[in-house]
Amino acid sequence: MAGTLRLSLGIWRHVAESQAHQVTVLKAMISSLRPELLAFARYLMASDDDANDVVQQTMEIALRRHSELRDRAKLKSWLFAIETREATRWRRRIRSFVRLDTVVRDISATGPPLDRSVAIRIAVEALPRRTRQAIVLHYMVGLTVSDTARALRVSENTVKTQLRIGLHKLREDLT
Amino acid sequence: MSHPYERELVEDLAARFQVDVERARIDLDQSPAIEHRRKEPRISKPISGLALLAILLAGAFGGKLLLGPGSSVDPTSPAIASGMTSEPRSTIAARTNAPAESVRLADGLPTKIDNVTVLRGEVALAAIRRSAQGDHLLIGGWLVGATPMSCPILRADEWWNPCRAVALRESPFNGPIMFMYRGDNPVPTPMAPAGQTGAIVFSVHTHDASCPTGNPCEALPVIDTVLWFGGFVPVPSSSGEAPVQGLTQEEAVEKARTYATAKSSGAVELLSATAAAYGWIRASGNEVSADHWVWAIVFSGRFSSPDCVNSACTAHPTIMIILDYADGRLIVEEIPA
Repeated sequence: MAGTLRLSLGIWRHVAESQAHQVTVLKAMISSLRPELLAFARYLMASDDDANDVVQQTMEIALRRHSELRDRAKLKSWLFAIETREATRWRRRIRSFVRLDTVVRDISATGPPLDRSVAIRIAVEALPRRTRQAIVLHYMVGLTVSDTARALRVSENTVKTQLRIGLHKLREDLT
Repeated sequence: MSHPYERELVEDLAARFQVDVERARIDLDQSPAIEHRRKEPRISKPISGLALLAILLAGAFGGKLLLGPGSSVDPTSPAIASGMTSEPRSTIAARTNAPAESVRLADGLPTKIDNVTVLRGEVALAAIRRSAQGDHLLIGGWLVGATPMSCPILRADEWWNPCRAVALRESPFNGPIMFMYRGDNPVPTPMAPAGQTGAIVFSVHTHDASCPTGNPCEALPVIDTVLWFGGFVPVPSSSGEAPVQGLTQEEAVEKARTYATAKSSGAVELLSATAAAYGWIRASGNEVSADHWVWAIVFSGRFSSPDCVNSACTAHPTIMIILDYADGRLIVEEIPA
């Protein structure tokens, strides 16, 4: 009896340690995506503080609900789906508040040619919100159409339409 | 998506996001108090209550819910020190401006990070070749801005294409180029703008399970994470003085003329002769180290491309012959110049 109990405790401890380890790994994986989450949030929110808050909220939710993630390969799309929803919630929450911090972050340019890169950012930010979300999630973050649709809670056809409209608008703005 | 402009636009969008991510990474690194809540009193009581609830909930999860780079991650973990782990290397977060006591620099690159040697250049290549499954290496180098090869338009998910790999040199403008692959689970990496470079250290592994068959997967370094990044600096603008002994201009031109004449179907005429460090002549070349002094001599004439196999090839009007400054040996010829 005592031996069985010891064995059970041993297995339980092993399982607990293994789960704790898994959570630690997941936390680190989530953490490594923080810059991408922030970059995405900056396309959704009007100010940098709002973007940081949304990222923070997203990570809190992800950590709380980590057990819902079945497939770690889907971590990225799962996180961005949470962030998209949180951004919408956040915007609704703050709509009735007077803004005290209206400074919009200036994104300094590194990478592709300055003018083009800046023009792209401005053009993307000028897109209607739903179109912008689809364009950023699919073409910039790199989610598939199907993951983008899940994140936005719309059909794949709707996403494809938004992408087509978005690209058309961007082409008009950038030429 | 078949319109060429749209393909270009899509690529530009992806590149723009990489810039945004890099900007976000820098901002996060520079603000250690990542868990900043806004200081301005614009949160209403209900939302303050929600925030408090979130904090209380987070407390139940170990109290450390705010995982900023460098805050949640322990770069001194035994896994790194041993170089062996079965867990994804994303357990290490990128660090910039690492504490001086843990990073010693040589030529702008850390020699060791937390007592693990940072490999570079030929030593790194040799270590990669010798590596076994499960090994993790720290590879350092300087980011190369322009891709030193002709690249087709790629799909966004073609991470195993060398054109998507991160190119590193051993020094800011010197040494052979190494390619660090991104694998199927790419981590964001800084992109060097034109004319700039940056010292960087990656944790990499080889023998990647997702490496497509047909590739030398055992020798392809795949990035686990960016361990250290020193920020971008302009590519050094001076490569020192020319060697004391070497070919004179007349000697170099005569020697080069022999090669050019053999390659031309008509008369050749000297256009220019320049002595300089190789890196200034061919920024993307890697035949010799970039600070190796050479003569670059350009002739006009009618030159066929080296890959031309029949007489229908278009003749090019120029050729550049690059000779070793010291002994005059032919290093490379380029058609057209």
